[in-house]
Order: sequence, then structure tokens, then C-alpha cells
Amino acid sequence: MATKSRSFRVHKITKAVIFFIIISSFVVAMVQLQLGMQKNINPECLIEPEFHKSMVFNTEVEDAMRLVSLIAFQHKELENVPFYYYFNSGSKDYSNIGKSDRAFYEQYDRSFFYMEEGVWKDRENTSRKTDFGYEIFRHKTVAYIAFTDYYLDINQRQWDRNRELLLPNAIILLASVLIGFVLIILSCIVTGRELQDDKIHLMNLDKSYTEVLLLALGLGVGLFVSGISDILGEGISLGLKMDLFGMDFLKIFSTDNGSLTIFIAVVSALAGVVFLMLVHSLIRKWRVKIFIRDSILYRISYKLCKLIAGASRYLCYGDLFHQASYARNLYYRQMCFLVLTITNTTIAVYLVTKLVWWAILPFVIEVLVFVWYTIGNRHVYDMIDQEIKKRTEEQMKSERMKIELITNVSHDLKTPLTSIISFVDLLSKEEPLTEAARDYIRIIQEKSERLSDILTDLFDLAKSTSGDMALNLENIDLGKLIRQTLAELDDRITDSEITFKIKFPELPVHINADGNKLYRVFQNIIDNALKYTLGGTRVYIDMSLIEERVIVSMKNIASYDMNFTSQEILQRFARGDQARTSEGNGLGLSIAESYTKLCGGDFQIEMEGDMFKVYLSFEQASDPVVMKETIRNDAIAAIEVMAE
Amino acid sequence: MGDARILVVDDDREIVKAIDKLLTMEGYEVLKAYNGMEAIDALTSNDVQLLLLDIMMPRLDGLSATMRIREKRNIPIILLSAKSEDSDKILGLTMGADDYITKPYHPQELLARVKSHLRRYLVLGDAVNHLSSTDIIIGGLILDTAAKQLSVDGDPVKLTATEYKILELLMRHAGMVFSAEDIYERVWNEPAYSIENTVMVHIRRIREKIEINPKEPNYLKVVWGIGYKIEKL
Repeated sequence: MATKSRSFRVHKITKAVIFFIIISSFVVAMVQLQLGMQKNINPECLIEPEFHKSMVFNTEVEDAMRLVSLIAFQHKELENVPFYYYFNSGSKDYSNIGKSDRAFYEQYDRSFFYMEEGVWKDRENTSRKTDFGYEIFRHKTVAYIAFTDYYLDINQRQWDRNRELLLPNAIILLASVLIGFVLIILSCIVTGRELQDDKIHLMNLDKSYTEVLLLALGLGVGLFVSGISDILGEGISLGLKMDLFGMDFLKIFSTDNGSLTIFIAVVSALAGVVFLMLVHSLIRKWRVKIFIRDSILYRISYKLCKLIAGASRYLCYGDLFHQASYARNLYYRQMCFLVLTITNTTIAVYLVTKLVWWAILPFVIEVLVFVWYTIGNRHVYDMIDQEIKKRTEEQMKSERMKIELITNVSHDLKTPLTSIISFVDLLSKEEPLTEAARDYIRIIQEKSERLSDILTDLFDLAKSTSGDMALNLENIDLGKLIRQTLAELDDRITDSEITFKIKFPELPVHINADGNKLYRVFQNIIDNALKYTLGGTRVYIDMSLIEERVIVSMKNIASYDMNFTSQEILQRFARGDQARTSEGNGLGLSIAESYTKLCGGDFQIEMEGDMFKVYLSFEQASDPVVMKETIRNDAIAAIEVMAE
Repeated sequence: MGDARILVVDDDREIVKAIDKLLTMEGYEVLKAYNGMEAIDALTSNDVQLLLLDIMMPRLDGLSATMRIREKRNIPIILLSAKSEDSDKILGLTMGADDYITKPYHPQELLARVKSHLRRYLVLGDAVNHLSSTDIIIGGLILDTAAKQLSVDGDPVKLTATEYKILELLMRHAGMVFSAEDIYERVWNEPAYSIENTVMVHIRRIREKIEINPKEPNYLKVVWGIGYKIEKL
């Protein structure tokens, strides 16, 4: 049941109907208001059934009190007043009925008032506050006021007639206000709710800043209220108070009340729609808790807070420079400079307003501060400059030494190795040799060759990571390079139980790289796959283009438990298997990574269970111009013609 | 062949000794020197057919020695060096050396290269006289396009028809890079479609026939990511 009523409430049509009824009741209320106002009747008659207790009568009473009091100054009788009075300020009696005894006046129990000790009071001895409590009335003044029954009865009849006239408007107004109010609350509850879920759904309007909505609402309501009250109040009586857009259109309304009603209805309908939408929007914003967050004030203060926090952190965080003495030096000098300058400026401004001639002093001080600041900084800059030069030189020197070291060590290792290989080869040709000796020699040969391979790889790796490697960058068809590499290793691939599955884009993909280095990269990773892929499985090499980058991936199923991380395997000398039994020296992937980076690419290894994945990515180069190809083919054709 | 005299120069006496043994066993006469100056002295007083020269040596290094020797002599010079970078190789070859072997070398490869260069120097020196205009010569390769025959360092080598066509294409345009598709379209006369492997298989076979070390080819080279070419020597 609950869900049913809920679904009914949040249904679009229900919401539209509610909206419509709200607007309608608003319009009806406004129209009734206008119609009521048009009758020019004081609405007090609706709430106060008895005239003599009304505010209207009260005003009359106050006027009477004032008039009677004024006798003290004017010294003459009042004329044409609807009440009996007696006034004596000590010397002379004033009365329009000639009676001075209190009892006579007191018989008019609905409208008897008297003055005692300078204060007007009613029958119940309650003081009536008046704005004319003159001192002179104290003690000696006596005054009575009593309105005639005739006056009161006539007014009471008018009062009742007025009530009857106004009551229908009032009832409809009240009813529509009540209905409107209840429905507004209901609509505010269901706004933003939709059938499918419990969330509040925001509309385009809700993206506006809260202040904008509030301002629009406030401005709208203000304009509407002042405009309408102008039209209904003075607008009508004066006919043309509002001179909107230079048009005197209110004149029309002052004569034709029907069109005024229509005008009010239309304006209130429009205003009602706008107000309701704004209110709903604000409520939705409140409900999803973006009322504050989505406001200009919040945004600005948030940014400001961040800025201040950042600035204060920057200013206060002295540790920032705990290793940089020059930066600290500059920083503190700059702080001193700022503080001094600000102080100086303040003093200067103060002195200019007070003692004009003394104002020269801060300027002199400021010049001195400037000189101190500039010279101090200049000195530090020089120091920094020298330091940087020194460091760069040292770095270059150590880099050169590193490369020299690599070259020398490599040479020093290769020379004895050459002797070993040479003499083992000679030894193997010596006759006679025992079977065991031959076997030993074979082992030495194998191992020395392996040593030679490791040395070469090590040297290549050291060279490439030292950054001293000449590159021959060319526009290369990456797919072709991989195919060539696979073709080059075709013997070994055919001998293995592994199949290579290749998926490349239809069109050639070009990159700028060093072909020989890149060949080593793919040779090494394919070699790695050949060594460590589970027999009978497939190795997948895919190439794809993602946003100007070429991604090459190679996936294979490892033939062993990969109990290491991708970082570990890229560490030099790491090997796929812990046993380190088969050939290969574990430098392959490191060289592949290093060479890929040399070629401007990115090299990554990922492992997922037994799946070993290598990802290479390069920036895609534009295709070499097709024209070049054509020209080259033409040249070949021309040469062939000449040869024949 | 046994009458060739070879000068081995290296500051490492053991290496010189090992090479001496190796070459002597093959029947060559070996002269030894331990630095560049000694090498030049030995060359002026002896008739030498081939020079094995280390680069990093005291007194006069291998590269300077090569330049000085090249001013007068035309004999094959093979540089031996622990410097394994491409730039070192290129420098050595531009200085006038005929070959560049990196240490540690395999003795059999050294031997093969020595033999190859000697044969080229001794046998081809005469052979050049009877070359016809239809022959294409690149280093030790002579392709007789009339007889459709190839000889490597004077020895005839048998090629299949396809291998011959590929080699002729590449040798005719030595130094020019051909993609696998180019080669396929010209040799097979068919539109090429994923034929990298097919072409590569033939390239590898050709390499095995013409190269001393097919893994580090001197003539038929892969230009990675672009194609294949025969080096212009």
C-alpha cells in the first residue's frame, strides 16, 4: 500500500497535476485578493465582529482623544464630532452636551474614556497609549469622552454589511491559500523523486548556483509583491502610479476592472510557475546536499581557504630548505625584504599624513633595503651558478669515467677469454686425447662461449644504460620488424612445440626507432618466450593503436611457477627459473627494456597466474611518404631497363 | 695455398701464439709482431699476403698502422679487436681494413675468414682478368648473370632458381633495401600477401651459402623493419 501511494505520488502526471493546482490556487487567491481589495473594504471586519472593539474605532477614539486634549490650547468647543465630551484643565469647563458628571458619560459603556492624571484610560482603567501625553494635564485635568449609540449602531451595521460583502472573497482566498500551502509542501516532498529509485533527480536548473536561485526568487517575489501591491493599493486609487516601460497602461485598469483581474491572473500564474520552480530547485539542492556546496560563496571561500592554507604552509614550512642552503638564504632574504618594505611603506604613509618632511626617511631606508636585497641575492646567484657548473662537470666526468671503465673492463675480460677459447680449441686438436679429456674440453668450450655471450650482453646493457649509445633512428614498419624477427628465429620456433599467433592492424604501423636495437628487443622477448613457454601452448603477439601510441603485447603461458615480481625479473641477472640450468644469462629482458627505452618506448611486464605478459608501447610515427616509395620503384625500374 | 705468409700482430703474446699455432696447423707461414711499429718493420722486410692486426696496442695502434700500410700495400688486413661496437667496426673498415673480427672470436671463424680473404686476394686477383661484362662483383661474390652462376671467393656455389633470382635482384641494386613484398613481387611475379617467412627462408638459405657466419652476415643483411639488402662493398 505504501509503495502504491508512493508510486502514485511520484508519478509524473500526479506531479504535473499538483503543480497545476498550486498555480491555480495561487492565481485564485491573487484574483480574490484583487477583487476584495477592489471593494475598498477594511478587512478587519472579517476578524472583529464588533465595531466598537475594532482597530478602526480605536483610531477614531485616538482622534477624539487628541481633539479633546487640544482644547487645552485652543480654548474652544469642538464642532461636528460624533461623540460627547467634557474637558476641564482647571479653569473652564468645555462640553458639547453641557454635562460635567462622570455618570452621564459612563452610561455609554461601549465607548467611555476618561483622563486621569494626564493619562487617557478606558472603562477597565487600562491606560491608552497616546502620543500626546502632555505634562500639563497632570493632576488637574479632567476629561470624558463617550461616543453616541447612534454613531456606533450605524457603524456596526456598515461593519456587518462589509463583512458579508467581503466574506466570499475571504473564504475562497483562505481556502485556496490552504490548498496551495498543503500542496506546496507535498510537491516539495516529492520533487526530484522518480519512480525507479529513491534518489533525488536533479534538473538543469539545479546546476545554477544557490545564490543565483535565491536572488532570482527574492527579486521575483519582491518585484511581484511591490508591483501587485502598487496595482491593488495606490495603483488603483491613484490610477497611474506605476509607469512601467513608460506606458501608462494602469490607466486602463483603473477604468476597466475586468481586464485588471485578467492581468493579475496572468501575472500571478507566470510568477507562480517561476517561484514554484525556483523553490523546488532549491529544495532539491538542499535534499541532495549541494545547497551549500553549489553556491558561489562556498566555492569562493573554499578556494580562498585552500589558497590561504597553501600559502601559510609555504610560508611556515621552514623544513622545505633543510638541504638547500642557497634556497634558504634567498628565501629568508626575500621574507626580510617583504616585511621591511611593508613596514616602511606603512610608516611612509603615516608620516606623509603627519610630518611631511620626515616622510623622506622611509624612502631612503627603502633604497638601502633594495641595495642590500639585490647585492645579497646577486651573491647567492653567483654561488648557485658556480655550484651547478661544478656539479655538472663532476657528473660528466663520472659519466665519462663510467663509460671508460666499462670499455676497459670489457677489454680486460675479453682478452684473456680470447686466449682461453683459442687454446681450448688448439687443445681439442691435440692427439691423443682420452675420452674424459675430450669431454672436459667440450665443457670448457661451452662455458667459455657462454661467458663470451654474457660479456657481450653485459657490455651492451652497461653501454645502453650509461646513455652513451649511438642510435640510428629510422622510420620503421613495426609489424614487418616483428615478422622479420620471427622469420629469423623460424628454425627454433619450428623445433619448439609452441605456436605463435600474430594479430596486427591491416595497415602498416610506423615508428621512429633504431632497427638493430629494436630487433634485439624482439629477439630477446621471443627468445624468452621460446625458453619459458609451456609446450603445446600458443604465444600471442598483438599490436594495437591507442591514441597515437602503438602497443605491442606478447602473452605466453609460463612452463614453471613464476614466483617473482615483474620488478625482480627486470633486475639484471634475474632469470625466469630459479634453477638457472639452461642456456641464457638472464640479461635478455633487461636488455630488451633498456633498448626499448633507448628507442623512446615503454617496456612493461605483467604476470597473472601463469600468464606472462610483455607490453611495449611506442609513439606512432607518420607513415613515410608514399611518393618516396614510388620514386624508389621508378628508380629500380630505370636501372633495370639500363641493365638490359 | 700453404705458401701464404701471414703477419699476426697483437700485444698479447698468448693470443699471437694461439693464432700462430692455429694457422701453422693449416699450413700457413706465420710472422709475429707485438705492436704497430714492429708490424710495419716486418712488412717492409717480408713479403706478406695477409695481416691480422689488433687495434689496442702500444707504440702504434692498429688503426694508425692500417692507414700507414694502406698507403703502400694492397694486402688483406683483418682487424682483431675487443671493441665490439658498430661504430668501431665502421671506423676500422673505413680506415682501409678488409674485415673486422671481435674478440673473443671463434678460432674456426677466424680461420674461415683468413682463408676467404686469402683466396679472394690470391685467386681472384687473376680471375678479375677474365671477368665478362655481365658479371656482378661484390666483395668475394661474383655473379655471372650470363651463366646464372655464383662463386664465393672463387669457389662455385650452387643456387636454386629462386635463390638466384633474389640474389641477382639484390646484387644488381647493391646497397638498396628491398622489402619482402618487393622481392616477392619481382621474383615470384605474384602479388605479395604475408610472405615475410617465405622470403626469409630463402634469404637464410642464401646466407648459409655465401656467408662465413650466417648469424653475422657480411653481405646479405636484414634492415630491420624495412627489408633486405646486399651491402655495397
